[in-house]
Order: sequence, then C-alpha cells, then structure tokens
Amino acid sequence: MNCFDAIVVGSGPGAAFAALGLRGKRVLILDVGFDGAPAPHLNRNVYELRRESDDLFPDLIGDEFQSLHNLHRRPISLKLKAPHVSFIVRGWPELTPIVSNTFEGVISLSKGGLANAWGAGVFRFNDRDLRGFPISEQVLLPHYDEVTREIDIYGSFFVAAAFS
Amino acid sequence: MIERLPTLAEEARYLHDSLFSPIPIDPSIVTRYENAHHALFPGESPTSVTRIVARRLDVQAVEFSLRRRHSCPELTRKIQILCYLVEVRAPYQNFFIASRREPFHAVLSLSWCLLSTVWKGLKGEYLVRVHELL
Repeated sequence: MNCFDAIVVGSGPGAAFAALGLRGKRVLILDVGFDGAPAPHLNRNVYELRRESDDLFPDLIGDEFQSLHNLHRRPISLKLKAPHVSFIVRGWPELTPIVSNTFEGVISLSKGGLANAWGAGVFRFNDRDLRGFPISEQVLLPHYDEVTREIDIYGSFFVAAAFS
Repeated sequence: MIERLPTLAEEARYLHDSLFSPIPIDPSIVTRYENAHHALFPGESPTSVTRIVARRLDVQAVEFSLRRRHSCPELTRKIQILCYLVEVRAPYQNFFIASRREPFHAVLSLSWCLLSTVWKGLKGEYLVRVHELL
C-alpha cells in the first residue's frame, strides 16, 4: 500500500509551491478537472509564438470568433476564450459564481488550474492586503523570494510597486 | 446630399489605415472583420461609425473623445475587434510588444504619445461637435 507524508490537492502554481515546501517528504499531488485537447504547437512563450507564426487566428481567436464573444463584457479575458484554452474557465460562472462590487475574480476548474494560462504575473501580498490575517509581509518575504527563484515570477519590483 | 454608407470592408480598410499604417491590410483581415460582425452582431443596423468612416474623420481623435463621454461604444468595439484580428499576425507585433530594452526610446515615445493624446483630444472635441456625433 502506498503511504504518503502529505497530500496536496490541486496542481496549480499554489499547489506546486506547497509541494516544493514539502520536498524530501513523500508527497502525493491530486488534481481533477477539465482538460483541453493537446496543442503542442502552442506550448511555448506566447510572444515568441506571435513573432514567429504567420497567423495564429485559428488558435488565439478561433474560426467562429470564440475569443471575441461578449467582447465588451468582462471579466473573462479574451485570451481565455480562445479555442485551445477555453477549458481553463469552462463551467466557472455556473459552478462557482463570484459576486463582488470591488473585484472580478476568475476561478479555474481545470486540471492544473490557471497555470494552464500561466503568465508569471503574480503580485505579492503586502501588509495592507494581509490586514486581519495572523501573518505579515515579512514572514512571507523569504517564501516569495524562493518561489520567484524557482518559477520565475514576472515584474517583482516595478509592477508590484504600482499596486502597493 | 445623401451620404453613401461604407461597407464593412471599407470600414475595415479605413480603420486599419488609421491605426496600423504603413502596413498594408491583408485581404484575410478584411474578410475576418466582416465575418466577425456577421457572427457577433447579426442584423446590426448602421451606427454613427459609418458616418465617421464615410467622412474620413480622424478615428483616433473621435474615438478618444466619444469614449470619454461613454458615447458610441460601437466605435471602440470595432477598433478592439480590428486590433485583436491583427494582433495574431506576425507583422503587427511591433505595434503591441516592445521586444528590446530601450529606455531612451521609451521616454521619447511616451512623451510623443502624451503630446499626441492632448492633440487628439482637442481635435476629437472639435470633430465631434462639428459633425454632431453625439
């Protein structure tokens, strides 16, 4: 019988980092959710892809203009409605509706979560964000630094400063 | 005199020339622009955008002015559609992505954009009033 020291539920960026913190132990990662059709030709940096591919219309917009549906209605990014990635937000509005006047949230019920559309843009919580939580920015700092080293977070200083 | 309303294809060409000159528009983008309208907004009647195109007005100036007033979202929407359609083509990437770190060029470019925005804002106000686009 297989035994594990820890079980991490989910395999998105948060779960991956949780598993990283458990290195040295026997860790089981469990995930379930929607999956997309394989698209190996898209499995690379999107900026390079755009520069080097003559026409990405079928992949990024879709022959039936799937990306452009509800163009003027947010919150789902147009990019998340593209044919090969729409599974990432499939079922989200019906299954986990978020109602808020102050933010627009997107939840993924896909295997791997929002990591399927990983843009490496992750902002650090500061003390203002953490008000009311029994944890401070200083406590999180070394962990943020570690995850930045491990999975290459974009815009750690200039971009984050604009939101602090 | 009755103005002849421009077709969607003419509209696509005019918006493209206004925003992405000097790149010549590819016929496939015109077709996709037309098809996008048919698919997303079937049966849509002509809007004030057709008048803007028919009179060859400065699209950037007019759109800026109308958007500030939350008026004529159709023009903004059409520009968005065109932008998304060209964004997936390699020749347009320099319009959307800065691939090199060029601080001096960035400062110059931002300064130019700032001045241009002021100019377009004033011009837009003038065009919107003169052509009664509200």
